Amino acid sequence: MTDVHPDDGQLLALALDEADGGSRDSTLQHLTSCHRCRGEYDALSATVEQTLAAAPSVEPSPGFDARVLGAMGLDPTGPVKVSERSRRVRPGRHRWQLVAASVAAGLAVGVGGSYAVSQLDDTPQQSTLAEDRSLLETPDGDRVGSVTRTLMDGEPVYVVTVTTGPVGMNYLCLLRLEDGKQIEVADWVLHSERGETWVIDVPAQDVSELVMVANGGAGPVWSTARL
Amino acid sequence: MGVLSLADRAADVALVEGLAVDDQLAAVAFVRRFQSAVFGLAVSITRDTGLAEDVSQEVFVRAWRAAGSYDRRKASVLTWLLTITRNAAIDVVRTRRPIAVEDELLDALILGTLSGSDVEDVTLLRVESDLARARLRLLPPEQARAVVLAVIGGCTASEVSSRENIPLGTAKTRIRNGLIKLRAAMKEEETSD
Ligand SMILES: [Zn+2]
Repeated sequence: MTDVHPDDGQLLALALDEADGGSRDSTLQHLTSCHRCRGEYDALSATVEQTLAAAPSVEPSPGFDARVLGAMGLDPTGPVKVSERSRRVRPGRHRWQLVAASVAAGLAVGVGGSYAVSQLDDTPQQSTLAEDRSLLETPDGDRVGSVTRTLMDGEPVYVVTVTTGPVGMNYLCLLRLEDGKQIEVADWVLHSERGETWVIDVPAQDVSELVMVANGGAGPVWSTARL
Repeated sequence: MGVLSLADRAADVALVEGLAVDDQLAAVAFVRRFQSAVFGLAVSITRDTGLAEDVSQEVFVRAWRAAGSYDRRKASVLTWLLTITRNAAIDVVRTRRPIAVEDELLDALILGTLSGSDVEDVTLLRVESDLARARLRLLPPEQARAVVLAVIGGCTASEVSSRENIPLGTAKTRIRNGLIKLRAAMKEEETSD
C-alpha cells in the first residue's frame, strides 16, 4: 500500500483505458487498497460505460449475423433460418409502440404506468433457464422463437421472442389455460425479418400453451409454445 | 418511457440468459438485436468497416463466453456489451497503427452524437441511447466534443488535444469535467425516477 494517491490524470487515463503499462499497474495496485481513489475511479469508469450508448448505430454488412453464429460454433443454417438478404427492413412502427399498444389494451406489461417510476428489478433472482424457456414451434416443427418466463419488477412475465417469420403478418397471441379456457393477449404484427420481442404478463391461472394465430386470429395456428 | 425501457431490459436479460445456456434461438436474436449498436461503436473507434466487423465478431464471441457471468444489477445488457466493444476496439487500434485524428468520420461522429436522434437508428435501443445523448447535450459544447472523442471515438487525451488544437492539459480537463457533469446528470436521473 502506498500513500501516494494517483493524480486525476492517471485515474482518468485508466478509466479511458489509455494508461500505459507501468502507470496502469501501479494505479491498479493502489486502487486495491485505497477506498477514496477506488470510489473516484469507479465513478469515472461507470460514467464512461454509460455514455457508450450514445454511439451511433450502424448496420454491419449483410450476413454478419451468420458469420458471428458460425464463430460461436452454432450452425447458422440449422433450424433457425438466418436470412442474408434485405435485412435492412425498416419497421413501420417501433417495438416500443408494439409494447405500448399491448399496454394500452391492459393486457401486457404494467397497469396504469406502475412500472414507470421504478428501476429494473435488481433483486438477485437466479432464474433456472433451462426450465423457464420454451420453444415456439410451427406445426411442422420449425423453431421460430421462444417464450421465457422471467421476473420484471418482481412480477412474472413472459418474454416472447420471434426470430423468424413472415414480415407483415398479423398474429393474435393466445394463452391456453389448464382449465381449457383461453385468453387473447395481444395482436402483433411482425415488422422485421430480424424478429421482434414482446413482453406480456403471466396471468394468475395455470397456463399450458402460448399460441400465435395467423391473420389476426382467423387462422391457421402459426406457432405454439408449451409452457 | 419507464415502462418501455423496462420491457426492453427484461427482453435483453432473457436473451443473455439464453446465450449463457447455448440456446441457439437466443443467440440469433441476441446478435441481431445488438449488432448495429456494437458495429456502430466499433466503427466509431476503428474508423474502418472491415476492422470494425472483425472487432464486432470478436465482441459477440466474448459476450457469449462471458454470458454466464453477466450481472444485471451492474449494467444493462447494452452497456455491458458496449463496454466489451470499446475494450476490444481500443486493443485493436492501439496495437495496429496510429489512426488519423483528422478523419472526417470523427466530425460525423461528433455531429451525429450531439445533434439529437439518430435517424438511421431503427434498433430497439432507443431509450437508453437517447438518454445518453441527451446527457451529452447538457454539457458545454467543447466538453461534449472532448468526451465524445475520448469515450466513443476512442481517442487518447493527446489525440483529443491535437484534433481540437488545445494543450494536452486542457484536453484532459475538458474530458474529466465533462465526465463529472455527466455523472451528476446520471445521479439526477436516478433520484428523479
Ligand atoms: Zn488513493
